[in-house]
Amino acid sequence: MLDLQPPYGVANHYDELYSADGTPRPHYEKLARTLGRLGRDEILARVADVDTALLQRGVTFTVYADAEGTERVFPFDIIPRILTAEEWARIERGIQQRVRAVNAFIYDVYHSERILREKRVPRELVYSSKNYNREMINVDVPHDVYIHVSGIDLIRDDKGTFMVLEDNCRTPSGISYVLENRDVLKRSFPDLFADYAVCPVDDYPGRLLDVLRYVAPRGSSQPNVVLLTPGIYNSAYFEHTLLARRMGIELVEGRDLIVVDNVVFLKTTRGLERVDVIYRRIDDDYLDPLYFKNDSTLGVTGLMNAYRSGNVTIANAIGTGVGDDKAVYRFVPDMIRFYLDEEPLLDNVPTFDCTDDVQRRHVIGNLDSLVVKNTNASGGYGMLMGPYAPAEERERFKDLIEANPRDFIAQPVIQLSSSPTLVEGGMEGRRVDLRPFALYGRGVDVPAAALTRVALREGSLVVNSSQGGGSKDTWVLQ
Amino acid sequence: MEYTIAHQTTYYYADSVNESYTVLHLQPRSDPHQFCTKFAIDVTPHARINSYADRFGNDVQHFAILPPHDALSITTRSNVVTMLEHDPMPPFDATRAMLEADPKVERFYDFLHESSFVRFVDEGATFRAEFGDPGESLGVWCTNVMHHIHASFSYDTDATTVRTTVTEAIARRAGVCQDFAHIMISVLRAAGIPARYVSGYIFRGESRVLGAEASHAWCEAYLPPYGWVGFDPTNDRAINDHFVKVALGRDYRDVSPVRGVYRGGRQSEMSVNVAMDVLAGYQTPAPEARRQQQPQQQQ
Repeated sequence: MLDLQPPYGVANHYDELYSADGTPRPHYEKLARTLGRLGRDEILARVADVDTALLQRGVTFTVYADAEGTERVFPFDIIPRILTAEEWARIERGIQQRVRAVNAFIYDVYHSERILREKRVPRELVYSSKNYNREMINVDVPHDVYIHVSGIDLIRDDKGTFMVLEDNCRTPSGISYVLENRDVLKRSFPDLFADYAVCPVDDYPGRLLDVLRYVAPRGSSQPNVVLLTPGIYNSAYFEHTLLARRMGIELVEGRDLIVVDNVVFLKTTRGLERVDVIYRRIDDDYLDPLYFKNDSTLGVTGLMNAYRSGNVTIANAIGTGVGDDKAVYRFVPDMIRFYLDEEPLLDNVPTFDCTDDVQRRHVIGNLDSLVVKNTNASGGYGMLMGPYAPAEERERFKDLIEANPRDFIAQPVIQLSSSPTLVEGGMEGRRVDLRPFALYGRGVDVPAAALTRVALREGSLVVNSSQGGGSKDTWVLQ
Repeated sequence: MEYTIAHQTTYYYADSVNESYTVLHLQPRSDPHQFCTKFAIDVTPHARINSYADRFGNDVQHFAILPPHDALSITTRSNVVTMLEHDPMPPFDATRAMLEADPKVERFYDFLHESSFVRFVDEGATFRAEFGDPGESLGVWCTNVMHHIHASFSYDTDATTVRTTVTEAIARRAGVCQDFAHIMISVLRAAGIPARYVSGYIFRGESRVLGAEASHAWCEAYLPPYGWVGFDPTNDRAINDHFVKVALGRDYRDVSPVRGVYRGGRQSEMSVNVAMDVLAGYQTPAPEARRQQQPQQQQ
């Protein structure tokens, strides 16, 4: 039997299942009952099936910097994370607002620089961003849409309020886990779904394809869309194959494409086929050796010129990284006010600017209580969890920050919410975040297909897969 | 002055190459001080030329040759009228106060910071001490920087390559016009004076015959109330009507006359030929000016 009374202490943070007085929240009651009825042995037997299914489907990721360079199964916890329709409606509006504002910012910094001229964002911050791509200055993109796909990471504070932890506007991944988790859970635990009306997630690929077709260059009535992958050694290769298959589009590598007279073509056995839209999962630096890293073999020579002349759409656009630079993050609420004339619906986490002398001194003096993040890294790399890090690691970050203050920001440690998770001894609370994916075409579409990542180590606050994180099926109730 | 310039660049590949993509910065600019009245490109093997204006306002051409080829030849022909005076007023009224009060300066981030070839290194700091503090009279100081670089570096086509950074050129105290320009840019930027790289051509006065010459390079400093002022540290001269400006950028990397990517063998040989002729307005220079001429850089 799974114990349904609070088996884990709900201390100074919000729990998704139990309210502060220890009673289950109403939308979790039926789930708890079903799990209780199934019983421990049955659940464990089915979990074994789930693991086998995931392994067979190849739901894996690669840990970089791992000595073995190994591919691992992305751990999946079968207890779903449930969001009510009201909670989701708030998230949806908040994400739509944020993505519109960041997109407007990206357009602006590559065109008239209004927000810089009006001194709402410091010029130096933008020009010093490693991902401010100067080739994009004055380049126009269809419908002025840059961030076709974004993954905005949300967390809940101790009161249960959703806040934005970081923006991901380059090539966010994780949707394949959302799709696979739902498939596998439905197969192995159909009973869990019996009492709930859960929004589907399997329409995500279709909605993504709609966006990709919509942003095709003018005049392409039947746009040819391809997914450009760096290849099998990329940590998200599994996702690339899955998305291409479910969208019914070609999965290609750089060497499959060629630029002829500023037009991109796919080399096929039937000859050259014109390509209108490239959903790329390759970083800017590797896209075109003629303009970016000139030793890159992953990209397509001449692509930048085809793009510049409007003959092909690249999604996401080149240069979106200036919008998700972690030092730019603290200005997003101002961007919302500036471009949309609205008040932010989702709050930021307070963030210290290490280029400011006073703030940097505060950060250096309080490393044991802060989280330090590299402004251009992602995936949990290059970060310091002050309270949990060994002293020599904090010393190392102190030197790094002093040497390159622009490369770091610091934030207080936020106690993420916990969610019931199956562990060896039964069910315990483990910390979670939430990554909804937003698709920007005609407007900002937020499919009810969000990824919940869970820190499987007890007490851990880091949910990244590279740092021992797993995932959960995320239910948005209708 | 009005010039006609023919610039030919030829690559010979040891083994044939294919899918070659080439980007050119060879079209003289049109601005308040010069006007490009004619520009034509001829590429062998044949290629369709596309172009765009980059963020510095340079007209950039590019083309691709997909079938295998063992040579590539690019010839441009330009006619340019230059309107600067022959003996421009030195920018001696420029002051630090004027620079600091100028609202445009905040947009010159790229011309005040390090770039691929322009680094502010420790060796550079020692080197920069030779120039003293700029003080208030920036125009005077910039002119002195030019004199000092010219006097303390030797012009040596064997000392450096197109990939040489400021650090390396300073260590050798030698280089070609590209290095001289990068060095002066690094000294100016480190002193808080916006500086940018200019590629172009310099007219060699009396030697009006076609000859094996090449592109030239110099630098410009932003000095209010004058705006951008050109200095040629290679020849220790102010920029006048003998200079034709082709492209400007942060450093050589932004404006390299010909660059490209191709598939196939790495071994290639390159030859460059520039012929610059006067169409109108030429007067025989004084003997003094003639002696100051320096050979120009092989790109």
